[in-house]
Amino acid sequence: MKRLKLDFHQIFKDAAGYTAELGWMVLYTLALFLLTWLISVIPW
Amino acid sequence: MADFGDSMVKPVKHPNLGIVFYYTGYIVIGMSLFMLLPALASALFREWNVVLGFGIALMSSLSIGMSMVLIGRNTRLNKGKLMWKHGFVVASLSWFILMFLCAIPYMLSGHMNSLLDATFDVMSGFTTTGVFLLQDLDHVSVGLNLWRHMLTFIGGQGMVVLALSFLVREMAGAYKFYVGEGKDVTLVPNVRGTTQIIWIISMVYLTIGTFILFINGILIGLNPTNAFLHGLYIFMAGWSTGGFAPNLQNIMYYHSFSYEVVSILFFVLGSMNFGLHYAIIKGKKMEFLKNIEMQSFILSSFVASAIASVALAKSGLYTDAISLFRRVVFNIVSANTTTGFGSVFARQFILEWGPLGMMAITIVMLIGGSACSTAGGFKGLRVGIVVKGFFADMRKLLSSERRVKVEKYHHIKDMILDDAIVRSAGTIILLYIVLFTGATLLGAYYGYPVVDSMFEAASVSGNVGLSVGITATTMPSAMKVYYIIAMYMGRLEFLSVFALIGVMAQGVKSWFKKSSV
Repeated sequence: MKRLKLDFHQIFKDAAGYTAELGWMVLYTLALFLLTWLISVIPW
Repeated sequence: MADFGDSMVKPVKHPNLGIVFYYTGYIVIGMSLFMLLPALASALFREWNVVLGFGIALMSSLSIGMSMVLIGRNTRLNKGKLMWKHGFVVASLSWFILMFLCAIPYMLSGHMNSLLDATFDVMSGFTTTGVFLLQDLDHVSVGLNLWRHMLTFIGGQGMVVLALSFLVREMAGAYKFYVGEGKDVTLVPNVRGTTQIIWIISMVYLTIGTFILFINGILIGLNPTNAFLHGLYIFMAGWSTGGFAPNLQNIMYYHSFSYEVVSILFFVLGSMNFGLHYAIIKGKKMEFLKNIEMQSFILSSFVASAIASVALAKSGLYTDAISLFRRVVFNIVSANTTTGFGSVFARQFILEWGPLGMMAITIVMLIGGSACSTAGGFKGLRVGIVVKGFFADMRKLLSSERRVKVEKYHHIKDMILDDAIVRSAGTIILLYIVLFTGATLLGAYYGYPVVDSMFEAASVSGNVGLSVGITATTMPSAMKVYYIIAMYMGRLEFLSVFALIGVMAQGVKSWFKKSSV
C-alpha cells in the first residue's frame, strides 16, 4: 500500500499563495470602498 | 472503469451515436450519484418525503445513464475513435439530458408550477445564472436547498470532466470534453490533473469560505445549524458566481455589512480564471495586476461602480459611503462577476436606479468575469483582447508601413496577439450580442419596457441572475424557453450547442435521404 506522505514545505507554500490571493481580494474591496467614500464626500 | 458486465447489447449502427451515448451515460451516472448527498442531508433532518423524491430521481437517472453506457459500450470499445465533435456534442447533450433528470427532485418537492419551470431552475443552476421560478423559497427543505446550490457549484467547476475523471479510466482525448464545456486553460499537461487542481482549489476555498461565513452567521444571531447551512449555501452560490440564496430576500436576509463584504471576497475570487488562481497560489503573486483579464475586470468594475454611485448619490437616494457601497457597489460587482446576489429588491432597480445606473449594471453584466472560471458574459479576456487588438490596429495605421511590431498581451504568460485570436474573441462577443438582442426583442414583443427587457436579457445571456422582476412563473412560456436557451448557450459559449444542432441536423438529413430512396 502506498504511504501517504505530507509535504509540509509545499503545504506552507500553497497556504502562502492562498493568503496572497485573499490579500488581493481585501485590497480590491478596500479600494472600491475608498472610491465610494470619495464619491460620497463630493457634493454632487 | 465501472463495469456493467459483458453487454449483450449490439453495437449501434451509427458509431458517432455509440460514442456519444457511452460518455453521456457516464456523465449522467456521475451526476446521479451526487443526489446521494442531498438525500443524506434530508434524512439527517428527517425530511422523509424529500428523501423519497431523491431516491426516485436517483434510480431513474441511474437507469437512463446505465442504459446509455450499455448501448454505446460496444461501439466505443470496438471501433469508436473520439473526435472533437464528440467532445462538444457530449458536453451539450449531457447538460440537456441532465436538465430534465436533475429537475425530478424539484418537481416532486411541490415547489414548482410546471416541468418547464423546474427545468428552467436546473439550467439556471448548471449555468451559474441564479434566476429562479421556484415557489415559496423561504420554506424549501434542506435537501432541495442543498441540491440547488450543489447544481450551481458543480456546474461552475465543470461536471462533464469531473464525472468522466472519476468514472472512466481511459481518458485519452479528455481535452475535447474539457473544451466542449467551455474551459480551455490547462494547468498541468493532462486534463485529469487540471480537473483535480480546479477541484482542490475550490474545496480549499469551500472550507475557508464556509468557516468564515459560519462564524459571521453566529455573530449576526443565526443558530449554529443555520449558520453552517447558510454559510455553505452562500459560499457555493458566491464561488460559483451563481447567486442562489436560501431566502427570497437573497443577501438582504442577513442585514449584515460584514456578510456582504465576505461574500464579495468570495464571488470575486470565484469569477477569476483558474489559471490565474493556480499562478498566484504557486507564487506568481503579481500576476493579479499584470493579467489582462484582471486589468479588464478591475477597470470595468471601478468605472461602472463610479458611474452608478455618482448617479445615485446625485439623486439623493444614497448619500453616505456605507449605503452607496452596500446598495450600489455590491450590485455592480455582483453583476460584473455574473454572480447575481442582490442587495436591493428587483423593483428598486427600475424605480430608483435611473437610466444611467441601469445602463452601467447592464453593460457590466454583459462584460462578465474571467474565462475558464465559473463566471459568464463576454469574459474580461475577450474584451481585453478586442480592445488591445483595436489599439494595435490603430498603431499599425499610424506608424511606418515598413515597421513590423509583434503585439503581445499578458495572460499567465506573454502571448502574441494575432489576428486569429482577435477575430475569435470578436466572434464570441458578437454571438453574445445576438443572443442578448434576441432576448431583449422577445421581452419587448411581450410588452415589457425595453430597458427592463434589456436588463433581464443581459442577466440571462451573461449568466448573472439579477432580475427586475420579469423572470416569474407568470411570464410567457416562449420567454422561459428562450431564457433557458440563452443560459445554456451563454454558458457553453455557443460552439458545443451548435455542434449538437449540427449533428442532429445531419442525422435528420440522412434519415430523410434514406426514407426517400
